[in-house]
Amino acid sequence: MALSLREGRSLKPVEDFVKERFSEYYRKNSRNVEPPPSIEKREFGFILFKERMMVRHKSFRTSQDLARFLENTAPSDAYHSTAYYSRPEEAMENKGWLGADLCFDIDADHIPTACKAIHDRWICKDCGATDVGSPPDMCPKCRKERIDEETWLCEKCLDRARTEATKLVDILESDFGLSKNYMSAFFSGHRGYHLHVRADEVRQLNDTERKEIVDYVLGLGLDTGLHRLRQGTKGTKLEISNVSGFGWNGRLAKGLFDIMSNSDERELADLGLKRRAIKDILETREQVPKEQFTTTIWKTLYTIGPKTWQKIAERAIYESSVKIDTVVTTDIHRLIRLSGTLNGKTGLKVVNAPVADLERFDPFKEAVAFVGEDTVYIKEAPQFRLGEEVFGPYQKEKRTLPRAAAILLICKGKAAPVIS
Amino acid sequence: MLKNKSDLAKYPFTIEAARYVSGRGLEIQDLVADEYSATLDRAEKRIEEAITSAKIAQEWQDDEVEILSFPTAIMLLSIIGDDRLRRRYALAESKRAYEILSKDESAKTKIIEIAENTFSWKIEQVEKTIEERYYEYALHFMNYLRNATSIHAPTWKLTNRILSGGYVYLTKDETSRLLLEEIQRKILARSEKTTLEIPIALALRVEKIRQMIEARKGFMRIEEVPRAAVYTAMPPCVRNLYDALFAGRNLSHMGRFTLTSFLVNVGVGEEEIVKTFKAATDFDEKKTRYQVEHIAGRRGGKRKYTPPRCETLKTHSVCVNPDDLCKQIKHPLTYYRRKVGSLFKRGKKPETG
Repeated sequence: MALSLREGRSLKPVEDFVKERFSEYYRKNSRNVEPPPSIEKREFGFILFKERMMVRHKSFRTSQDLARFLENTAPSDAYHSTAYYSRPEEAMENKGWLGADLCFDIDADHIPTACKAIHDRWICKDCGATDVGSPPDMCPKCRKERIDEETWLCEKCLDRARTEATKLVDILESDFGLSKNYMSAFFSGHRGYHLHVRADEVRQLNDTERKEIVDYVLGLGLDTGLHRLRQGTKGTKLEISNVSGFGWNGRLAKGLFDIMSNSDERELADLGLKRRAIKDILETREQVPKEQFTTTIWKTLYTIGPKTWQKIAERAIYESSVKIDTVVTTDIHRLIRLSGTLNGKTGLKVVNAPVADLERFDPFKEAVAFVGEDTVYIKEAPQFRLGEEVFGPYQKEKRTLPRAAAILLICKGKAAPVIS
Repeated sequence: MLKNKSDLAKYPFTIEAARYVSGRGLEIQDLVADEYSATLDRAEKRIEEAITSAKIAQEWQDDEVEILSFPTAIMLLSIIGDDRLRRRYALAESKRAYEILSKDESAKTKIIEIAENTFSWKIEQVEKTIEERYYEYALHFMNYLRNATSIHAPTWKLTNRILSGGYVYLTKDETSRLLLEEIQRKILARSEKTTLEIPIALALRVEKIRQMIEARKGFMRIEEVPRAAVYTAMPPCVRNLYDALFAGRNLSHMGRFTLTSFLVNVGVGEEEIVKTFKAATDFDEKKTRYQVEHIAGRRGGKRKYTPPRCETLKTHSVCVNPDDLCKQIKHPLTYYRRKVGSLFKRGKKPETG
């Protein structure tokens, strides 16, 4: 029986099927769910299969209470507040805000990757027009704005997200002096990573102060003049000389020197550099020993005008900044996914990733939550990996797959269970 | 620690001064005694100077009187309960401290003492030249953010600071400037309205100050509301657009329209708005001027535009961090009018009869 997937998603049997699997997971694993510290001061929220609505303002005194709740309800998604409250179960204005962890969300959605053109697509709800890549704001065909997107979690995208997370950890540690011991990183079970900072000193930060930290991480409002990229005596020249400088000062210097020393002809042209300037840069590279690339030699290139320096600087800032979802960090009442629970968009679990060893963390292995097999009818799916096994690509076929792979395809709307 | 009396008189907001005062075991009733009339006079003078010139004199005769008059003035403020006066006083006192500090020969260590003892700052003395700038202090980013986020200038943006190992590098003057913010906040917190039983002799003084406020009301408003737009009275959505503009972010069409029409409607001049937009990265003066004039109703349909309603702003994600007041209103301009009202008109009228 081949279900049309758009209908299939709303069909009850599919949902019951997924819910049953989630239920089984929580019966076996609810004790492994990792509640945040001070569980009694947190608000919890859940999306339930039946209502498809967020149930908020829940609270639990112990991790056992929480585990029991998860077993009984088997929610599609589970969240906890980044904040601490004296009365977490009350309405927002009566909760008594005590402070909040400093949290960051790095999502592949916010990172431009080339592979999105391969695995993501969008469909216009009105005229049915469709194409690959990130969705446009407006349908190019019928000019309406109701657009559905189908995304995929791909290894390249998640690698990029993980690299961003590593950059973030570095900024928090070296610039903000926050110890890794107070940081926890989690794979969200879908397209990104969450970083929680639970140091005492950040708890009382208000939203304005958090916004300032967000701007810092994004390199927003960075005034290159204040970082000494300014008018020299003979036209504008680069005065930054200290690549081991502090914070953005050093990062900007490093970024600038990196572009000057390593970008190829095309990349330089893309930045808007003129032919003569590019020639100058390439010739300098040939004439000067590489060790001197990070020193002051670039100052002497008078063919590069102030506007061009600004463009190069902006590129350098972009490369060093961390692409985070700004809203998550500034919202001091935010709910965020609970570690050890399942993500309803994928059936993968939210899982702790070691902050000190992020680069070696493999989300496609660690987030697998199910054992056993299921048979599914797959409409269409790109190739993907779970654990050591590579699946697909699939095109209109019936397959018996490891349960985690089957659930992933069902949750992403690419397959429907074949119920015997 | 600040020990000698003249230091306490210079910096009466410090914990050392507060300890000295509480060591004297003064009660409110004692203040009516003759021996404290000089203290009461000076307290009244402090407030009067704040009202009339927004500055408090830096000369005094008697250290003892100077020390005691500060908490006395704060007590008077909390009895009067006029928020506008409290803010004005806090600003005047903090400026006084800032100026005295800038002339103090031992300012360098005084800053550390005040910052650590009175305000529990995590601060260190350094001697460091970074990129040709000489820094004398390193302040923990938490203390920095709490005090610097209210100063809206690119140099104070964290992104433009030297931040390393959790500490922001500061010059001596910058550190004093941040202390000024902290002093203001402390005075505001300490002068919150109370319902103390006041002796009759004090009641007369209170009455006198109330009349003084009443007489200066219009004048104070003009001084405190620079050409109309009051940042703190703007709704969160507009403040966010304003901040975004200063952070160099490009505003969406809706955001730009909202900000411009909002500013036009609260009485900011066209020239001023164009200047504000100069901060935007894709600034095109001619185009901006045209847009501003259009929205102000000087071009095209000759219709003055008002900003969109809250509902519309929500749809277009211009609405951010709505607060309690937002829940009561449906239009950003209503928010502004109400907030301005509560910020500047709360001073109680003197009761007659």
